[in-house]
Amino acid sequence: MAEHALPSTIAVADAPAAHADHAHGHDPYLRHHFETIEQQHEASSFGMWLFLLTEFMLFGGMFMAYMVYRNWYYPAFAAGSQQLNLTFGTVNTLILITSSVTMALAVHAARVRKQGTLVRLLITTIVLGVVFLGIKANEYKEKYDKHHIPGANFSIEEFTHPPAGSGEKPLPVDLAEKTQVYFSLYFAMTGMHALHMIIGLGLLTFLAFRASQGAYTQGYFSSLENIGLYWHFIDIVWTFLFPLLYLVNRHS
Amino acid sequence: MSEPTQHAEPVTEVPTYLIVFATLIVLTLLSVGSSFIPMGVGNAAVVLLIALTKTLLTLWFFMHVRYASRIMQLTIGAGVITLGIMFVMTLADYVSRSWGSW
Repeated sequence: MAEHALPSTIAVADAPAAHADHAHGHDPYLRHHFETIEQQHEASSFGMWLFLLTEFMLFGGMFMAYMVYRNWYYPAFAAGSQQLNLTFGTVNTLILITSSVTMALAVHAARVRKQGTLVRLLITTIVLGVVFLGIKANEYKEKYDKHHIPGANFSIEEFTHPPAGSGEKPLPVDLAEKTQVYFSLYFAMTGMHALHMIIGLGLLTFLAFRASQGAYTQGYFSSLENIGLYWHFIDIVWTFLFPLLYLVNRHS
Repeated sequence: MSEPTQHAEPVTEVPTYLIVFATLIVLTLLSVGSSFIPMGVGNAAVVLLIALTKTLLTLWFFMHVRYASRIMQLTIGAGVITLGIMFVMTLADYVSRSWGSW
C-alpha cells in the first residue's frame, strides 16, 4: 500500500478515475478534495468520533441528572428499580453485547473482503437489535399496565402498599411519589437509547442492502466502519444504563 | 487486486474479538451476581467499575481506538476527560452541600 502523495491536486480533481488506472486500484473511492485515501479515511473517522463525543455529552447530561436524583431520593430509586424485570434486562444486555461483536466481525469481514459473511453478519446484527427492541417494548407494556408511567395516571399503590411476600418495605407517600422521578429518567434514558437503536437499525439495513450489492468489500468501507462505531456507542450507553437502572439494591 | 488501502491493522482479529466477547459476557454476569450481595455503597461501586471496564474493552478493541492515530486518541481522550469534569465538578458540589445516600 504505497502512501505516496498524488502528483498534483489538480490532476485528482479533474480526473480521479483516470488517474486510478495507473496509480493504484482504489482511487475511484477518493473524493477530489482529499490528497490520499488514507487522509480521506482519517478525516471521515475523525468526523464520526467528534459526533460520537457530542453524543457522549448528550447522554452524559442525563446520567448526571440520574446520579443527583438517585442520591436525593435513594429509597424511591431502589423501589422503582425493583419493579424492572431483571431477567429481561440481563438478556437484553447479552443480546446487545452479541450484536456489538457481530458488528465488529462485519467490519472485519469487509476488511478481508468476504461479501457473503459481511451480509450475514449485518443481518444477524439487525435481528439482534430488533429482538432487543421487542423485549424493551414488552417491558414498556408492563409499566403501562401497572400505571408506572409518570403522569396523571401514575399509581404509587405498589410503593405505599407493597404486595405481601415481595419483601419490600412500604414507602411514605411523599417518597413514593418520587418514584415518578425514577421512572421519568428510566423512560427518558431508555427511550433515547431505543431511538438511537431505531436509527442504527435503519442505517444497518441500508448497509446490508448496499453490501449485498457488493459495496464495502472492494477495499474501502469508511461508512460501514463509522456506522459500526455508532452501534458500539449505543452498546456502551446500555452498558451504563443497565447497572444504574436495573441493579439498584437488588439484594434487599 | 492490491492490499486494502484502508488501515494497517492485522487481519487476525477474530480470536481477539471472541476473547473480548467472552470477557464482556462474564463481566455482565458478574455485575448481575454482585448486585445480590449486600455491600451497601459498594454495590454501586462494583457495578460501575465493571461497566467502566466493559466500556474500555469496547472502545479499545471493537472501536479500534488501539489502531487509531495519536491525534484521534487524544481527541477521544479529551472528550472523555470533559465528560469526567462534568461528573466530578457537579458531584463535588453535591457531596459538599446536600449529599443523600447511595
